[in-house]
Amino acid sequence: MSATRVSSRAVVRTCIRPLVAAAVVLAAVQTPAHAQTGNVTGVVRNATNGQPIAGAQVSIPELNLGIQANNVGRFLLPNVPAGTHTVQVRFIGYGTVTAEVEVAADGAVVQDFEMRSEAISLEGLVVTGTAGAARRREIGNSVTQINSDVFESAPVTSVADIMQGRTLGGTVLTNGGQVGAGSTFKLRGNNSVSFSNVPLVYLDGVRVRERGLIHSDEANQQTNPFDDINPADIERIEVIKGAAATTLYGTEAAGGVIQIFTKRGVAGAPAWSMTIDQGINNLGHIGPSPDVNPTGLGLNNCNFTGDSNFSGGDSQFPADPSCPASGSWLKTGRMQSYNLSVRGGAERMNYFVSAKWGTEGGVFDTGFDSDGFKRPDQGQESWNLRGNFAFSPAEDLDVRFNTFYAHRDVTWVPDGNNAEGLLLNVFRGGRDYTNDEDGKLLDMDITNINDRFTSGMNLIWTPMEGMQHRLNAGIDWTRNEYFEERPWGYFYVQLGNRETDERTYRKLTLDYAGSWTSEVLGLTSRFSLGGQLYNDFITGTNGFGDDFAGPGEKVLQSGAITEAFEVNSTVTSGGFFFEEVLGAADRFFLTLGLRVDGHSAFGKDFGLQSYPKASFSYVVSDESFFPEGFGLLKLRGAFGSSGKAPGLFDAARTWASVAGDNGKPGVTPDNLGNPTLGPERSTEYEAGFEGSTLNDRVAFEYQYFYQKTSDALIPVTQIPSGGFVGRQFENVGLVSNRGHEAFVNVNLLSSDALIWDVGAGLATANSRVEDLGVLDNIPVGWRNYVYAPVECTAELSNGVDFDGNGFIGQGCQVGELVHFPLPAFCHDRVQNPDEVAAPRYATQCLGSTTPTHTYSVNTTMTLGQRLTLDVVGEGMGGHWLSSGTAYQNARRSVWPTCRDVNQAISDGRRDQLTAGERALCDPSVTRYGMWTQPADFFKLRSVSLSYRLPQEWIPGRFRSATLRLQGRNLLTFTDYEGVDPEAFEDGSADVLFRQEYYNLPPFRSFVLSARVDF
Amino acid sequence: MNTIKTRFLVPCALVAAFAVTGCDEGLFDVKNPGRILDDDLNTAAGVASLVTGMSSDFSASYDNLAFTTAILSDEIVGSGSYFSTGRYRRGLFDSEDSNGFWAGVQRARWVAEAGILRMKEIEGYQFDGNVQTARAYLFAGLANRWFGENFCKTVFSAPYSEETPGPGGEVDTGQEMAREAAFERAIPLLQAAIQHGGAAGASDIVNAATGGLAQVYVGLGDASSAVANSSKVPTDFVYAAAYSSNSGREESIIWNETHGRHEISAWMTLAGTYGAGDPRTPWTDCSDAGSNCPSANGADGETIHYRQEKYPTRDDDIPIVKGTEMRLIEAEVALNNGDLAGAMAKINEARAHYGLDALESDGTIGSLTGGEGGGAHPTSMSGWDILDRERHLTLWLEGRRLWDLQRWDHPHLDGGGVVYEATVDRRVTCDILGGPRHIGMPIALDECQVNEQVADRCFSK
Repeated sequence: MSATRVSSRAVVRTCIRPLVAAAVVLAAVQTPAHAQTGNVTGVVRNATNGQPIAGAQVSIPELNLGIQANNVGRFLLPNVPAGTHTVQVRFIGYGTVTAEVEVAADGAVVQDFEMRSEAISLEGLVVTGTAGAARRREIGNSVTQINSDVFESAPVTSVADIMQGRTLGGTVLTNGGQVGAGSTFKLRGNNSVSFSNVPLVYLDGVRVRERGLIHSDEANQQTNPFDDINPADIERIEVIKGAAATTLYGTEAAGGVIQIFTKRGVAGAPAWSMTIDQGINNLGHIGPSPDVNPTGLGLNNCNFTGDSNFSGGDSQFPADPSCPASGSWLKTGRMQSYNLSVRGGAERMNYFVSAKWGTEGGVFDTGFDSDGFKRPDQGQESWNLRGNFAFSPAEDLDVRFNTFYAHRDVTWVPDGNNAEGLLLNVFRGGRDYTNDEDGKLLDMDITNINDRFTSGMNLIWTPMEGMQHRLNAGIDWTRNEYFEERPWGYFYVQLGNRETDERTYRKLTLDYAGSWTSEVLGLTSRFSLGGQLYNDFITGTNGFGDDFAGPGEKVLQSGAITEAFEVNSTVTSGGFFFEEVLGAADRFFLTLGLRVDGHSAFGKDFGLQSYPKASFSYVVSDESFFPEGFGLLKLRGAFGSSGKAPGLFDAARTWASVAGDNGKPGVTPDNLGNPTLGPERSTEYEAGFEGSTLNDRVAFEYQYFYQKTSDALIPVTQIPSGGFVGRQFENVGLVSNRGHEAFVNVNLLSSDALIWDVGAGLATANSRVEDLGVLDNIPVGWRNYVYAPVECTAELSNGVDFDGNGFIGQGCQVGELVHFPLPAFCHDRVQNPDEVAAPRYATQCLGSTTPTHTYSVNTTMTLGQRLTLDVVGEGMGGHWLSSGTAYQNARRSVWPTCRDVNQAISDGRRDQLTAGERALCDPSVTRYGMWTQPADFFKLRSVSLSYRLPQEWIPGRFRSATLRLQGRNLLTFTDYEGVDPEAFEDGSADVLFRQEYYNLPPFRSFVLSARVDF
Repeated sequence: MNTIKTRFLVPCALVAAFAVTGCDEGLFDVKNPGRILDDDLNTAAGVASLVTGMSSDFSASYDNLAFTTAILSDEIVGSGSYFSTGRYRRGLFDSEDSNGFWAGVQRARWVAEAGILRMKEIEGYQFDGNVQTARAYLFAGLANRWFGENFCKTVFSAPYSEETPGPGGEVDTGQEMAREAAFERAIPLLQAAIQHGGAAGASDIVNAATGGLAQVYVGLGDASSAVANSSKVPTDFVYAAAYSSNSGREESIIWNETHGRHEISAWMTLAGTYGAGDPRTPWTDCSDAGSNCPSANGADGETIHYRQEKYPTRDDDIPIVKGTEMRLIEAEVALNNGDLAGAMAKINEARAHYGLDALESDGTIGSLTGGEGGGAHPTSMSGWDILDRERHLTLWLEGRRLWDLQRWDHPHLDGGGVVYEATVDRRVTCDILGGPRHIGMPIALDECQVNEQVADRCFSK
């Protein structure tokens, strides 16, 4: 065994066993040599912030001695033979460190270690996308690892906060500013026309619900179960992005996989950690510049008191008699959370337990109702509990239980594309639904209650050197209750109504993998075989009660008219796989694998689906010909397939039950059916390299990927005149997606006094439609289309580019094929903007609705291992966004930048306006497309400052104390003229469509946090 | 090696065995109650549900047609924030706009026609003389009337084939046909409804089918056949598409878009001006302090919301055959025959049904002159202008006005626009499909995309 290798069996064992037990065992085994031995002891710390690293693996490989640092980072290697030895310390996500120690007989050597988190650590273990744990050097595809130390310098509040700006190739869009609303996650953009492009999510090996829950039609948001996970519980996150990496996850994994690992116990006395966060949320000025928009579209100032430019008030946004006493619909929302955790363990058993409670207030002032009662505050209250336990009932068997429960109450205000939405009515000034008494809208109650339980058991049996069996079984159970009520006397629906929607989502996971490592003809071989079974059950009821008899608290049956619906479905998917990893000289690795899947949604005539994979990894820097001193360089390439299953009933011809003739039972055509229906297949090729140079001070990674989704499931319109109207999924489409991903992280300074890292990442993803079968296009939302390629015509090529931002097909060569992104905004755009005339329009496809490139910059500066400044910025671009807000306000002559045109029309000078001016602002002729613009933006996502108090400042019972201050979403740079370039009217709805439509923009937050460890 | 076999291969074999045994049909069965498989409908006991489904599919799309054609014909003004109504009130309506309406009428037609074929084959079902059979024929006939009246062209791809031709010998080929083809198709269906309804003693179905025949003969320009049928229908007869608050699908969209929302308004329309106080065109001025409306204006923020009260609840049915329309058909035929007195007698017979005073013409038959706000001249007392106005008000919000404008080649179609200026010369034009003076909803883009025979018959605006 080489000095740098520790067997996987040893690693696993050391991961589980407590320090004391190991010491006793080692002592017993080596008793004859006792007189010739000494001890090595010390503490393992994070070099950046000085925090101990619990669970770091400390070993002397040449002696096959190993131990795990305890829960405060301390370790003891007993009975080390006297002499000079190299002690090695490893931990996932950190660069391996070594130190030479001189051990004297009966002596004790104190050797502390400081480890630095590494973006690229070839010896680090990765478990996502591989059959078992594999060292990064063996893996042929790109993997992103985010370790807790990277985000613990800031008091992050959600998984989205962690991933935003830190996931190369990932986009995390915030969508809106309602507290508790979910974000949108995507990896490498879109590769499916018809199905979710959201990655699969695993929590400690258990597959969990990855999509939003019940969609509120009134708040136009939905909660995302991702946000129930306490970020303080997370040890690390692994992300794999394309089919080349996700093959072993089979059908449904084409959108990538995110695997979250929570903290585990480590041997030692209980080590407690308590965190208290206090913060605020608020919004700045809304909409166009204060010069033309002094009231912030009536939101910042709803009680207009005058302005030097608007003496006498703003006629577009007059004072609202229901305006809160503060004179603004906005307020500062307060947030607080309290987190307590403990980890420790004893022989053969360890634990990590945590609890958290918190509240977060939104930025709307909901005020008082007409009876003078305080309305419920917008915001959320949440708590969660976690218990992770591990024990070793036998020498070769490790058992882990991970259980978590979360509860969340969320209260929203009506928002977005909704006649009763607050912003819609406020922004429209007097041209609204409320006769400009917008506070009436806040009488509507919108509440979510989420409960979530996730529990899993991991069995790891290591019967002999080089062999391991792993079995995961788990359940993810989520219950979402949604309530929406318009009280009796509500202005818009005078008799009131109520909706309740209750949904339970249950996912079961059964996952086995066995691997056997051996030597074959001088090559290392790791053969793995396994299988998974997933069961996805959804049940729920949705009820409506309309027309109450009087005031008071209501239930559905309070309504004179009631209606109910039921959801009840089960989908089972499963498959098995094998994988062979061949290694040569520990520097060249070839991986071959195959997965075979079945799925409930496949057609009866379809059968099973197989997904192959192959990859190579070549650590070229280990070769003798490689320049010495360069550092590490790994070349890699990967190919693989995975899929997306069709919908539950897409294969069967069915009729739906309906009512007619006033409540009598009837049937209506539902789904035409397609017995040959199968999954769409994503095949991906990826090639790249990663490594580090300049004494590991520069880490870098690059890859190019090309994805092709064949047999894409396209909702093909059945011939309407055939009567069975609607769409039937057919495997007829072809979609491609390609892009580059690169990041570099530079350690500019590294000393005890100052550590300064700077990083930057860039990722592109250009998905486009290659074929839609017989279809020309598929509408996927308001003026969002999936377009098949078209032949360039002179008319297309020579269209007028209204605003200099171009359009798809502009300048194309007649006859060539013009491709469209997936999906594209296609809108009416003015063709005679400079003429003094009525506008003429032509439909032009403008660009992608989702970002085609993302980039991030971050820097971390640590002074004296105590004071850390961390800054994360993120930009996205290449996409367009329709501002429904600007368009609809322009239609009502209440968009601030249209004041001059409105005045001209009012003065009777319409015929003096150019077509371009009229197309934008003349209510009688403006079109949506005129308010569709490039939405490139850069946001300062996070600036945080943390300070670890000197030991002498804190009471003796505390091991450490840290103060943290973070600002989130602090600045936005964009030329987009709508309200916010990241906003989406439908929250985290899992759709291709995007549009901004009167939804609250993302707010900024400031959080002060104190953490003590004791 | 034995150790390895035991420790690796045995667990793996267990997994493999699980995979093999687990991959039986049962494991991956879809479990999702609520759907009905196609073959399960072939039972006599299921016929009632099949026919109720025909009624439901008819109603589910007819209200949307009535709502939209009301905007397109300026029967009522689009006052909302929907992008589509913004287009419609400018007279913009293209093949993509037509998708939902085309699908709706095709489904209503096909469900009834194919259902009749299915019912004939169901063992144990008494087809002849059964009231369910009569209703099925009625819905098939009326759906074809709806198709012919409102669409520029017709296309039929199913259910009739060489093996199972339609009652008039129709074989569906998927080719474009004139709108008259739908009227022709409706005739034997409605005649069959009369036959089976009569045998079953269902007088309402007989009257509805007879009135439907009168309507389709008007569509075909066959005045004598139209009158021969209309005269059999009593003035007080009404057959309506059913709506109900029983379920969301059964609710009338017109109620929702006017009471639930403020998307269309009678402001400045004929109903909102001349029709004030007319029991056929009731509305509430939401700008009145005592109106109790949630807001004074339409959703566009500027059009005063004159909220229609013809359908004041979710449950209000939309008439599709009325005796009063029969009298107006007879009046129209009389005018065409130069019989002004006869025409006025029929018009006044219909008015009397609503408790309205009799009208007296200026003694001239005249011709359509049209006018502001909805097309019918508000004050002219010539025979044709009176008829125009009376049909407009009598059939208000019933999905019939667009057809009257088309078949009369009404002057209003040369422009108009109640609130916003129309941006096309001729509103709701069929453009390439029917020539410059031909209006209606075009063949849907969805049809053009997948039916090669009409691939070039769609257009966009």
